[in-house]
Amino acid sequence: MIYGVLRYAPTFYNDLEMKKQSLLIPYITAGYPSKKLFIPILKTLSLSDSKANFIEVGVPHSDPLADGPVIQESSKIALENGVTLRWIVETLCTTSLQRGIKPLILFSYLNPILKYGFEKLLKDLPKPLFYGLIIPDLPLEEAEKYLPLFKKHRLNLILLAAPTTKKTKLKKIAKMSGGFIYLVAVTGVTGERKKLSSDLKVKIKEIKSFTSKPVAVGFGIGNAKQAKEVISFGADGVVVGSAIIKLLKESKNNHRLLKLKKFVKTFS
Amino acid sequence: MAQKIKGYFGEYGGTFVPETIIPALEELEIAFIKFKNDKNFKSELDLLLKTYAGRPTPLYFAKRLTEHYKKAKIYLKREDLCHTGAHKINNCIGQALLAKKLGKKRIIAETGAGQHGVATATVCALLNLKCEIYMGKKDIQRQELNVFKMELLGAKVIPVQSGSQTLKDATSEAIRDWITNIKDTHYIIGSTVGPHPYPTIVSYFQSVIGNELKHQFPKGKTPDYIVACVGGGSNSMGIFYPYIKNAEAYRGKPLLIGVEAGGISIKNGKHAATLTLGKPGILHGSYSYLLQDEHGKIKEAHSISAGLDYPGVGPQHAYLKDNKIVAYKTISDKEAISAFYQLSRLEGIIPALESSHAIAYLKYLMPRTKKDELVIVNLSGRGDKDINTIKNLNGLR
Repeated sequence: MIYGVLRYAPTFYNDLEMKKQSLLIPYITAGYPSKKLFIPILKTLSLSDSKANFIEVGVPHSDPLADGPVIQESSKIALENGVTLRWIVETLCTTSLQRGIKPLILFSYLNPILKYGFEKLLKDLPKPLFYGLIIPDLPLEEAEKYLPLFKKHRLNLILLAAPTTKKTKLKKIAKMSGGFIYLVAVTGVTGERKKLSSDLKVKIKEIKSFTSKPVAVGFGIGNAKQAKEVISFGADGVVVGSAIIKLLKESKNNHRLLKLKKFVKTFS
Repeated sequence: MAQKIKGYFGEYGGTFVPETIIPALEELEIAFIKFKNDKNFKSELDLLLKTYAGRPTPLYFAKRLTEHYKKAKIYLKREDLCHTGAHKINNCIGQALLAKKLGKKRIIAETGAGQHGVATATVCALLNLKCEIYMGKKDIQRQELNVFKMELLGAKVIPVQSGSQTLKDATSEAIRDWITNIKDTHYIIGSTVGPHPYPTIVSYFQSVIGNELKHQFPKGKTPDYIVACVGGGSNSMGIFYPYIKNAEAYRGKPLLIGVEAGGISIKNGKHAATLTLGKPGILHGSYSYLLQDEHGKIKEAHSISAGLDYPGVGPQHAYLKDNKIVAYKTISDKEAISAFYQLSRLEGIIPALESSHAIAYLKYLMPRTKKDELVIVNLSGRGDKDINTIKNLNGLR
């Protein structure tokens, strides 16, 4: 399996051009383990041999309903470090820091966004650095009124589909999702799983049968072997989150970036 | 498909949850619409409320409390006499029956004071459902007796170590469990919070309180004031319900008063006065008032009463506040404790610390009332569970 450089138009609504290569999307919680490491981690994940196509930047929240213990803990520490959505936006707006960073996807619960101002955020996020947003507690039903704003500010709202989502809704999600579709691999919260469900293959096939948009699978994928399995099920990419946070947690200060680099390389 | 019910109250409410549980919420909504008017379901529910929960609860004229203030007549709606000691059982019976209809085998719930946990565990024993209760570690320590009760009833109590280790985090953990076990599990939310259709369902099952009240007066008489405490907001929604069912038609009588927990002080931030001092935002799946900072981080609430110790509030209350249909006031920990003693000594009724907030508000309300008026206080629960808290705090005085 090759994770190639994807040809995409990062800020262009609904125009992720699918290639034969698979997508790798690492997730990090912004400002974890420290504010100082935020940019160095993004740069490490963006190195030419890292294979990451996008990087998901998680906004820490006090009540992350969709997250398992690993990301919950990283959120808590990031909040203690003083990380806020405002800090993330301001940091990434500094042009001198943007160089050498792959396109980003902001992963945030809705409440910090509402407090920041929904449209203000879409306006303030630096482009073309940002490709889109994932808002796990904003399902399609509630998202519809915001869609015109995404179009206006040329950002993608990447929608989540779940194992429990029924066909009619799945079709709607596939149609409305910006760029690609984020399929949740498990009924559950984020975090590594020993085994992937066999239903996953069926679900990927189902989505693929009515859309040409890429499908990225996340929640529960912790290593290259599982990623390969998901790709063999027909998915176009994977999101790896908790495994990366765990690695950052468990490695010592001066080894962190090196270990991260090595880990992401295993996905090639 | 069945007709949908309203998921918004003005701008408040909604369904802000991960996609995984959306189908279960739809399924629940459909079942609720179908069964709430189903004859068999209704008679099953009514029979359990009557013969098991002990309904209707009496409307009691509090003579000595009335004499104390020498103003309007004070009546207590005795929800404290319900089986398990609080109004929580009304909602649990209703939701557990719904869960049975949905074919669910396992029930989960969150609990703060432990009253909702005990009520859920009780109903699960009754209906032969597997039961697991999420409870903050801090609450487990301050409500030891209820933990033991839940276990006695066959439920498993899962301590929640994250965040403030109280009701907010117990609710988050219960939602995470539900996301994971969505296929065989029903989540019985204990208050009028959470994503649609929960606020509507919980209000409906609690409306039995207000519906009874309406018929407990001699013909032609109506209450002038109704006072109830507000944490998540279920006992107050229950007793207000018949008067605000059609909110547009509400003409200002009876005057409805919701009493929030003012905690140690509403000035130093140690309180749970969500409607009084919060700002709208998203918590546990709905848009309502919250205690939060300028970045949208949810703040920790504080109240001597574990059942009011919650930084959010039901979306209906947010709507009722904005439209000035209900007046929301605060009572401090100290004032609630005084009222706890007052009712015990004057009426021989030991109230729950939650309900003590409503009793305490009488000292502000009564001077404004007239002798021929009627004041109703919803005595939502009894104080057995709080004896240790009071004992450790002050002892006898």
